[in-house]
Amino acid sequence: MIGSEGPWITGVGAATPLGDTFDAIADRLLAGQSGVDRVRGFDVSEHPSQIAAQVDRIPCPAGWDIKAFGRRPRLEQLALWCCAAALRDAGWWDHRASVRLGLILGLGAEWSLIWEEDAFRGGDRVYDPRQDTEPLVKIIRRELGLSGPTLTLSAACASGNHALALAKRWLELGWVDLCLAGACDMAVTPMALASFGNLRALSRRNAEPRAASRPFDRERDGFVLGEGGVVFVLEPAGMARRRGARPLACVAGHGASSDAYHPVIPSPDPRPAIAAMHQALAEAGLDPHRIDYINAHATGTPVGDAMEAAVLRTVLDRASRRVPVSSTKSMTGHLLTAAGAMEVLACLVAIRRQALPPTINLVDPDPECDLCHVRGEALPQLVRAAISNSFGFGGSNTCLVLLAV
Amino acid sequence: MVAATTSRTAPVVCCRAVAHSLIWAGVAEVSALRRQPGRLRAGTSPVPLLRHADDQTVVGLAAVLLAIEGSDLDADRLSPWGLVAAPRFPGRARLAAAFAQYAVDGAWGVSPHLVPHDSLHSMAGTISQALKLFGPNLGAGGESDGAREAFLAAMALLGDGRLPGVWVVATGWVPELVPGRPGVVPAEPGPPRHQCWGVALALAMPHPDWRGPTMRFGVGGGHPREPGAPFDAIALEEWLAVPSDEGRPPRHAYWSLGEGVWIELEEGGRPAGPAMQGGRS
Repeated sequence: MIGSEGPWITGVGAATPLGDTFDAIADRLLAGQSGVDRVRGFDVSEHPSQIAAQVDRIPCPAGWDIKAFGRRPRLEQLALWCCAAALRDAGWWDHRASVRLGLILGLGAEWSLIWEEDAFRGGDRVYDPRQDTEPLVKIIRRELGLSGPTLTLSAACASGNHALALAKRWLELGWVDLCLAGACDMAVTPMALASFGNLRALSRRNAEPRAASRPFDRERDGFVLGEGGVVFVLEPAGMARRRGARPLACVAGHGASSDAYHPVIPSPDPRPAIAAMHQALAEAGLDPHRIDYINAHATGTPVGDAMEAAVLRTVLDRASRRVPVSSTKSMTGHLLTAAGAMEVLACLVAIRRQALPPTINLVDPDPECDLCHVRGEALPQLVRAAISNSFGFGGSNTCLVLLAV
Repeated sequence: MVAATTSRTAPVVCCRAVAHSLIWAGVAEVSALRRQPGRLRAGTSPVPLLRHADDQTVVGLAAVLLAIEGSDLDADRLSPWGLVAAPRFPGRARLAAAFAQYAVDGAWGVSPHLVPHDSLHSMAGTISQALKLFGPNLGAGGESDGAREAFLAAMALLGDGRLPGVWVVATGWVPELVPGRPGVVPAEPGPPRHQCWGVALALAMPHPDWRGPTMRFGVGGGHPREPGAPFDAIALEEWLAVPSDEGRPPRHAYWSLGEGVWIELEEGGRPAGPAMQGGRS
C-alpha cells in the first residue's frame, strides 16, 4: 500500500452520459461504449456541430418529492443528486450533521446556464437580478444540511482537479472534517453548442456520432460536447480507516500551473504543463516509471492532443513506451467544467476494476501523438498509481495523482 | 490528520498584504480602460487581450495594474504567483444579447467569444495572461458573495506553501448592470449611474522583516472574537488604503465572512495570535 497519508475518496455520486452509478459507468467505460449521439432536446439543424453526449435522466435523491425535484433547473438537479448520492455512497448520509462538511464545486457557467434554461422556457430572469439570490452551493448547503464552508470555482475544463486539490488542502488545514468535491456542467445548450461550434472547436462528424470523438487519431476534427456531473467525498485517511470506510483511492498529489499564453489555445511552450505534472508527482512521491495508467486530457482537437502527447513524452521519458494512456472523452464526450471530475472517476474505475478504459475510435494514431495507447478495448492491468491530466481555457494546467489503498 | 471534532484548534493561514487597489469606473470609463488599463509589462499590448473581454475583466485587470503601480512589487518577478478572481454574474449583458441574436440568426449568430470571455474562469485567465503569471489561475464565486469564496481558494493555495503569492481580484457592478430588453426603450434613461468596482489585493507569504499589514484567515474556531463585521471586499481595501501613522497604535480589523470563515488584519507586521510557521500559524 502506498500513499496512505493523502485523503481517501470514500464515495462518489454521478450522472453522466454513461450512467449514474459507479458500476454502470465502469461497465460502459470498460466495454468501450460511446455515449455520443445526435443532440436531443432542441433543434440543431442549423448548428455546425449537431452531436453531443447527454444525460438522459437525472435521478431524484431517495426520499425527495420527484415532481418538485423535476421543477428545479437541471444544473441544480444534477448537483443535488451528485452530492446526495456521494454522501450515501460513502456512508455519511445519516451522519452528515455530526461533522463540519464542506463543499467545493466546479461550476463554470452557473448563472449563464440558469438564465439560458429560463429564457428558452419563455422567462426573463437574465433581465431581473432580483431573482439571482442564492447560488447553487448555498442551495446545496441549505438543502443537505452541510455545516462547513462552500466554494464555487472554475478553471474551465481543469475545474474538477482543482476542486479535489483544494478539498485536500482544506482537510489538511483543518478547515473541514469532510469535504464534497467535484464538478457539474450541463452545457449541451443552444448557446454553448453554437459558441463552441463557431469557435471551430467541435467535431462536425455529424453523420457518425459515435465515431466523432477520436482523441489522438489522425482524423480527429475537434471535441464532442458532453454534460454531466461527478462529486466525491474526501475524508482524512485516519478517520476513514477508523470507521471502516471503503477506500476508492487516495488523493496523493496535485500540480497546477498557467500557460499565460492565450484564452483558448494551448501554449506551444510545454513547460507550464510539464511543471504541473512534476509538482503532482513530487507531492505524491511517485517516480514516473511507477505510473500504471494515465487518463489524458486529450479532447480530440488537433493542437491540444499533440501538445499533451509531447508533455507526456517529456515527463515520462523512457517510460513513455510502456505507461498506458487513454482518453475516455472518446466515450463520454468533453464534459467541460465536469471533465476533470469525470476522468478522476475513470481512474477510480481503473484502480477498482484493475482494467484500463480504452480510447475508442483511435483507428489511425497520429504520429505526433506517439504514446503507449490503450486502443479500442479495455486492458486488464493491476493499477496502483493513476494520473489524470486536465487542461482548460484560460491556460490552466492540472494533474492529479491517485493511488490505490 | 484531522479529527472529526476539529474546531477551536483549526490552523489559520497568515500572509502579507503587499499591494492593493480599488477602482470605480462608469460605463464610459470602462471603455477607456479597455484601450489602456494601465501599464503592462514591456512587449505586452492590452488591446488584443481585452478586445472581447467582459467589462469586469477590464476593471479587474486595471485594478491589478494600479495595485502594482502603487506598491514595491516588481512586475517582472510575479511569474510564479497564482490568481483567484471573483466577478459577479459575469456575462449577463452579452448573454442577453446572444439570446436575442439567436432568435434572429440562429446558431451562426452566436459569438465564438461568448464562452471563452464570459465564463467564471475568464477574468482569472485573462489577467493571468496579461501579467504572465504561471501559477494557477481560478475563478471563484460568480455571485454577490464571491469575494468570500475567492479568499477560501486563495488562502488554501497560500497555505499549501508552494506559491510566493496569490492575487485576489473581486469585481461587480453597482447597481447590477442589466441589459435593455429587446425592442423596449427605457421610459427615463436618466444619468448613467452604473459603476463597476474592482478590488485587487496581492497576498504574499510571511516574511520576518515585514512591517506592513498582515492578514490572518481561518475557518471555524481559532479566533476569540465573534461575530465580526459583515465582510465587504471594498471595505477591506479601504481599510488597507488608510496611510499608516507612527503616532498611533497599530490598527486592527476583523471580519466575519459567513459559514465560519473570518479574516483579521493588523498593521505593523505580525498580528496577535499564535506564531507563524511558514504560511500557517
